[in-house]
Amino acid sequence: MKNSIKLFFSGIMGALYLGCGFLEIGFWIVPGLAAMEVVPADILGGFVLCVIGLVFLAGVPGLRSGTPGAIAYLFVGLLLSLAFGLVAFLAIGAGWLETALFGDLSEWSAAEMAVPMLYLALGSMAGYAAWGREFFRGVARA
Amino acid sequence: MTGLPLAFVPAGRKVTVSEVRAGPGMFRRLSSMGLHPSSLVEVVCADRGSLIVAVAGCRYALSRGMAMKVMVQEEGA
Amino acid sequence: MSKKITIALAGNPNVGKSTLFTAITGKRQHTGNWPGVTVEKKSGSVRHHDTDIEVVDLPGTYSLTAYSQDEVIARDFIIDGKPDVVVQVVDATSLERNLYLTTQLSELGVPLVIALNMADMAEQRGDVIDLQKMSKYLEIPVVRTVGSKGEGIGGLLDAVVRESGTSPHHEHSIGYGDRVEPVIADLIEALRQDPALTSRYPPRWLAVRLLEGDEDAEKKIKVSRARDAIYSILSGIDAGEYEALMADRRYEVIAAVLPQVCTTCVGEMTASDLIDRVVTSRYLGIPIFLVLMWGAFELTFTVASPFMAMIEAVQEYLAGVAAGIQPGWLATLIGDGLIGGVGSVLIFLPNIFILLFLLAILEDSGYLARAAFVMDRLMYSIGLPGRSFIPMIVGFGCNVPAIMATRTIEDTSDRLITILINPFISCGARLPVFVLFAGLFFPENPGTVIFGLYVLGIVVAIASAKLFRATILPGKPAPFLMEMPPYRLPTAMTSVRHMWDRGSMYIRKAGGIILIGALVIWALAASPAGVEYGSAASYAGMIGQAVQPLFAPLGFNWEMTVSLIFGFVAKEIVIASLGTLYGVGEDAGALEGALLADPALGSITALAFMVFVLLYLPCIATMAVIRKETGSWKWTAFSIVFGTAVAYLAAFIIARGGALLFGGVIP
Repeated sequence: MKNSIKLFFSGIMGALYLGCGFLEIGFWIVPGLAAMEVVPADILGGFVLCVIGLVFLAGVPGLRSGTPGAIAYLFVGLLLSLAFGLVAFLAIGAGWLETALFGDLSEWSAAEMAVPMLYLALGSMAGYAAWGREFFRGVARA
Repeated sequence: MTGLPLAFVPAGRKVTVSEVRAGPGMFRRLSSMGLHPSSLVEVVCADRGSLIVAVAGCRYALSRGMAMKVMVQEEGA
Repeated sequence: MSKKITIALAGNPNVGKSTLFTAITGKRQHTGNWPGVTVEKKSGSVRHHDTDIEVVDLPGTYSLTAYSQDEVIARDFIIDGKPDVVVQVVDATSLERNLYLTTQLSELGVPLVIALNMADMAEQRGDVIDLQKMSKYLEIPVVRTVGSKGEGIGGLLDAVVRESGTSPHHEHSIGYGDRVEPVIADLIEALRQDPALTSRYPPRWLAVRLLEGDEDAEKKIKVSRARDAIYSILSGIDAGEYEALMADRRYEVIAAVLPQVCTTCVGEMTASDLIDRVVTSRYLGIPIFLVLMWGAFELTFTVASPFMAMIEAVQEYLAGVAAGIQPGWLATLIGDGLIGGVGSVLIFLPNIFILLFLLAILEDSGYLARAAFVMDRLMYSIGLPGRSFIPMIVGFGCNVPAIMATRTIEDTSDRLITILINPFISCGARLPVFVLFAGLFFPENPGTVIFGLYVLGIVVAIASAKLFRATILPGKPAPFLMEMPPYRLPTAMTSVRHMWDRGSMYIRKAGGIILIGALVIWALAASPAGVEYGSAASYAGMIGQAVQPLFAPLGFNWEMTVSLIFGFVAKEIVIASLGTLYGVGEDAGALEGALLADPALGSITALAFMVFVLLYLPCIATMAVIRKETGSWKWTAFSIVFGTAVAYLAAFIIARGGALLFGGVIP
């Protein structure tokens, strides 16, 4: 059923966000751990990822038992994930613009785009496309 | 007959206000906001100290202390 | 045969009065999605056919009994301002509560017109409201409006003009039933002993207010000659019981009218409620709030940086042009005074604008009220109601509107504390100082330092609140009671407009007070004639050196001292005057170089300086608004002295502590 897709989606997104968040914080605290190409060392950013992950995960028990309203966690998670995807996109875009105007663009590589805050939001885009409208029309009739 | 304090109602429940045990000032204030005897209240959030209630299409946040002074009865009871 | 009338827009908080006001008069008003955005009456005018209409936008109020400062303003205007017509703006999505105020307004006997606002939202929800029936039962003209789209304005003004002609106005009052009516009749009888009073206010209305225990009505009676007769009536009854009876009766009337005029779809959990459950939940509420704040600051700094670089490039070019100007004194005036001073402030406009834009989104979406709810317990533990949190957030933009926003706080000592701690919240004007110094002296992690300064401001604010509660303003915060507006998707247009409304002030400041400040400092630095520009022998140098011993324990040199002295005008002047004094105009970007090269400045001194700028006396505009809102010079002086003392102490601890820890050389 559709609900099991939502459940699955929440669980996966939650685990991914939480995992990446822990990694970012870990890399920051223990400098010896070499950061992965795709996960930077960033304590505050890591905290953000953890919170988004927790919001997704908080909806899982309710979605499994079919509690009305549990779906709200999924949507707030989606919204936060998209909002911070936008934050990351703008921040990286601003960096690109500055390099393009005053620096040497050849020094700038697309690899800077590879932060979890940005690429995990792509997953949420799909989720939002699928269920966003439904929610805001007021699905919530519990 | 007066029922239980609004503060003890779990989230998602609909209740009817039976009595507002507040001083004149607070009584008038709550009345003008729609929280008066016989009005229908739904508790939206009761997760933290304060709660959010829905009254007549509006949402109010009120402290637990104040919610203790509003006595309510379960729907249909 | 043109005639002139005055109308008042009254109604519950957050029903769209200011939006409607803008739609009618075309005059822009700050709007937002939280109760208490408008705290002062604003007027504008419009010509409708051959009538000149003066429109007054009032703060929102739930009833004619006022509890907080903004409600007093609304009530006084409705009652004593004698508008020709009162337009009650009603939120079509919550008729029941809105009509409570209608029952009170109609007792007043002023011509009343109802603007059924946000009608589109009610219709979207599936509500059906029969305007004609509603108008018939209430005996009040009802006009459908949608303020945000400008619908129904013409019809509303037609009705207003028509009503202004009707006189005398009948009082369509509620009958309060067999127990209450005889007492009202007695009271009216007694009130007639004072014709002066009854000619000003409708006697029945006064009688009702007295029975309901309204303090303002009691004040009016205290000086009346009908006083004794009225006291004897009131002392014979149980006021609390009558009050309850009357409120019941009001709702009975509303309950009798409502089902006949509308069918609503209220009662179900909306998407808004479900979001609330998540963002206010016990464990996730505060983390979500913190994360959103982090996002706002991250954007403020990263997105602004290319724009800052652009402005800097333009300045560099202009400075190059200025250096070639003859005669030489004009070159330094333009280069050092104008570009060095004002320019060093303008660079930071992107930061300020982005921060204001994000704050506007926070306001317009309705999340701000939730933030207050989430922080309520924390605020309570420091001795403030959750409501005080909104001014704190608004203070990140500018302290002036933040202090105005405290008018919605009912309790006077709650309000006073909220006002007094607000200057510690770092406003947009202090940001330039932090960005410049943190970027220079903490190049590895300027963001963390700036974030830390914001946190320090909040910590000092909290500590001060606790201190005030424990000493000069004891008591418990008032219980939390606040409306949670429904979430709305903020449109880019309105948020940009809000950003511009508040942000354009910074541009005007740069062209006005900061320009003047920079020129004054330039003049002081360039005279007396023949002196080397910006040297210790100039007037600026003399002033700085005279006061500098005071700041010597903090490690500040005389240039910094001068900038702090002038910084009380507006905090951006700190940067402007440093730019002027270090004479960096010829080569923009050189302020950084000059500061770094100064041997008196190390990272510890820089930190002490930033902390001092964060905490020391509020700027002139903030002082003026503190004076206005507290109504007392004593509290204003207290705020200045307290802030400066705290700033000095904090900077001293950092300077001395730093010297001890790192053995830094501080003269």
